[in-house]
Amino acid sequence: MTQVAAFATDTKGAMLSADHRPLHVYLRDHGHVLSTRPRGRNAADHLRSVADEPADLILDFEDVEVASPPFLQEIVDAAHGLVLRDKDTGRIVLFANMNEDVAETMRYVVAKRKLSLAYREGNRIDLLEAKPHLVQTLRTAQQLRSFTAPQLAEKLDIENDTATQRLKKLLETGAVVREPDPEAKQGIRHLYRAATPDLAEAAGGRTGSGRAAASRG
Amino acid sequence: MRPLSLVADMRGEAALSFLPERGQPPAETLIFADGLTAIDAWGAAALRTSIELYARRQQQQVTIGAPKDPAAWRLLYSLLEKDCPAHLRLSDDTTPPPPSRRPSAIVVPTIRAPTLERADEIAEVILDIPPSRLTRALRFVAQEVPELVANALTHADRSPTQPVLCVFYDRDEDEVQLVLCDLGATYDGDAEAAESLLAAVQAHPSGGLTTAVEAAAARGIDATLTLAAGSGRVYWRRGKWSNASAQAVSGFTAALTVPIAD
Repeated sequence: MTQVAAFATDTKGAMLSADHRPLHVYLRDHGHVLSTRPRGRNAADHLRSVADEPADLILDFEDVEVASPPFLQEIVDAAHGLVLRDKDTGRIVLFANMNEDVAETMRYVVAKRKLSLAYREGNRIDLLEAKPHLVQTLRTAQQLRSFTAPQLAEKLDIENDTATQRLKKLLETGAVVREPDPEAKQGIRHLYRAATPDLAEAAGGRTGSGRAAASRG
Repeated sequence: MRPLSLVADMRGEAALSFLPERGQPPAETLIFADGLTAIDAWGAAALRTSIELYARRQQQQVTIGAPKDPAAWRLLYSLLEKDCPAHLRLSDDTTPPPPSRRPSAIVVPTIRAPTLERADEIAEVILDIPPSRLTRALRFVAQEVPELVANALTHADRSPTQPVLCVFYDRDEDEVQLVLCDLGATYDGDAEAAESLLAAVQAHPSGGLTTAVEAAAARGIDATLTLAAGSGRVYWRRGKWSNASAQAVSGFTAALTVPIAD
């Protein structure tokens, strides 16, 4: 059974859902060697079952030595499915602690699916297989922490519609979430929150497995 | 008595001719290895599959003599000694090579992989290689061991032998070889095995074998995948599939070769 941990993180400065408790799923509980599509499917089914509540999700690859493309395809599909399921609000899904081998294979899988995903790189959160303008948008969103689309547009010096379009794409990566702004005076306005280093700290762990890190010398 | 004479050079795809034909009647087998000078994962996996069929499946005695070349004997012995069938014996005039460290070219000696759990264990054995020797190529090979085993377990469930694999470092080519053989009969007697094999692979673009080599290419690893079944050969190299007809061989072989330099 995959180990799952839920705990509070520092949400200081964030206006959204102060009680966010990320669900921390350790892939190593499926083995140090993650392989074959049927086993990936089992892991994906388990992921869907434990991630029923719309909380932030950390998929932690610490101590996973290698992972094959079919296994990762199933995990990526499941994670993307969870993001889409909660598309009105978004759901932060963070891939964490992938060693160099796993990250390279993940990059292939994500490119083949024409997706992008949020991952922890050192102490920051980055986007895998994303266009530079989206990465730039995420960086700015992380600085703003909690914001509206016009606020982001102003910060980036772009049109409001452009900011909204970029946020829509970021919602699909799992790097950004949103919820209705209770202070909006008319119509529907959303407050956005980006995955931040706080969540990266929650992901914790080493950057890469011991064996892999050592092999890179 | 069934004689089986090994050739001097049991390396490369040509060594798959030593895979046993299915349906041979049980008989004691005598393996003549006198002239053997070189063997790699291809030859070792093919020979071990023969031994598995004759000695374990058919429960017939298989006797092997030593090559004249002491280094070749040490290599052959080390390739075959793990988990070998009880019916495999040394000939009367043969003694085991003097105890010494296993030749460093052997990453994983020939071994059966009857389950995915066993495949995982084999992968972990590779990953436990000291960091100074655990190259990127070896880590990639470790990753793909369970995929190749899964492929064999799925498609060769009626093979009379369990999948046999070997991982070997070829110094001449400076590459790691992962060769896995089974005796699945899907392509036996298929006059257009090369076309059938290629069509089967291309029909599953998300299959374990295809994604393995595609991912390798995406990662800048210059891996070559070779599939051999009957007279069919399929190769994936540098982003392209190709096929060819060649000498008919038994069963199904999947092999990954990965340059260390990557």
